[in-house]
Amino acid sequence: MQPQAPAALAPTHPVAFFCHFIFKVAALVFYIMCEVVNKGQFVTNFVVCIVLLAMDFWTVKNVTGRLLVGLRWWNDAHASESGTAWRFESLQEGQREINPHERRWFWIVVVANPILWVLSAFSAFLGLDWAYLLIPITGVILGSSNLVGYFKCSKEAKKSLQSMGTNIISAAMQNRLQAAIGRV
Amino acid sequence: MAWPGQPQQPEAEQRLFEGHVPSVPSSTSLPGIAAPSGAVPSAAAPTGFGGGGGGGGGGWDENTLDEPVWHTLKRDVITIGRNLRSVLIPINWDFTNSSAALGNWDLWGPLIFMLSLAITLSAGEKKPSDVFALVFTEVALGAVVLTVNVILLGGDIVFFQSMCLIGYCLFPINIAAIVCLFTRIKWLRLLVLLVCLVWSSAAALPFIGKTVVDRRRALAVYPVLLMYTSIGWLALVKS
Repeated sequence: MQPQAPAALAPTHPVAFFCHFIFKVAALVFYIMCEVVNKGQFVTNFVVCIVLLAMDFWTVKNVTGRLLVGLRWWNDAHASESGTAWRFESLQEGQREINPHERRWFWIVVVANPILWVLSAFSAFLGLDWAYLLIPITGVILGSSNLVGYFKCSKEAKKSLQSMGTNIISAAMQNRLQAAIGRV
Repeated sequence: MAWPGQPQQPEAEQRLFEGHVPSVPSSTSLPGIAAPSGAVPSAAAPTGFGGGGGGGGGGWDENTLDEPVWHTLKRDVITIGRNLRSVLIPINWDFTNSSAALGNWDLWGPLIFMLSLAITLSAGEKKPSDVFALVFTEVALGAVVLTVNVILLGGDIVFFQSMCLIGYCLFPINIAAIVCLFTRIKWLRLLVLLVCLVWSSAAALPFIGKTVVDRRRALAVYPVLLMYTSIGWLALVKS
């Protein structure tokens, strides 16, 4: 019996891991600090925040999700007659191992991001700062769409894994049964 | 370290039930990320998200999970360029029906145009934050409401496709706003604005008009024209 390589030694992606955090944190921190640090320059602050949020969205959707947890979601407008089809892609079994440490942090960050932006939206709303309210709203929209997309993608992955697992199990069991019976 | 263009080759495509975990080569993060990590932030801003995150349609390789980052970036940039071209130069390129042209919708172009429009219109104003927020909200809400309008009128358009279209057709108004920023000659502003409005409308109307029945075409099309005119008006009266 060959020794199993522990999953924790699966390949890591330090740069992607870092990028997964940095854009979100930069956007949040900049948003919170902008009125303090860069007073009066609403337009600049706004544009910088929006650009950071957009870069974060793109990075999480296209790069870090792929590399850290092997999932990907997108929308295919041509697909069906009735409109759009959401497509999900996940790693084939055995294609690449996922580092559990990375996976855990990926999900923590993806879930915490919209929550933090919702809190910021509340604080902007209560502070009656209508102009700045647009930034947390955009943050919530982008963050939650990533969250929903990856959540659905992981459910699809689990479903296909289970069905594939039962197929393979039954096929393997059948082979073994036949081999066992044949040997008797 | 693996060469950038080379996909990750697992040592063996072992199936799960053969008894051992496949040994993936220890080369870690794709150099495609490590190398241009300085360039990615600047290049990532104008690239595709939403439906444009994929190539859409049938031309997409299903196994894109291990492609290098440059690949993804390039694909999104090409999508933006293609959408821009097909929306703004409304001749019949190669597409048999124009609704296929925006199949690979993406929302990056609209984001860029909306931001630049808001910046241009709020530059030099006494209260730039108000104008900026106004333009931003008007474009965003306007696009959503107009799309819902078309859908409620029975048009068979995809929600994001129509948002993409409305956003891309802001480009001529962007040009008009920039011109209005640099000149104060009233008749020049008016002329440029009219030309750009006609251009926007000629780009947007065929898409929207085709999706609803004849009787309701005006109902679907009129609010779009109204929105572009109001934004153009903001450019016209800019101080």
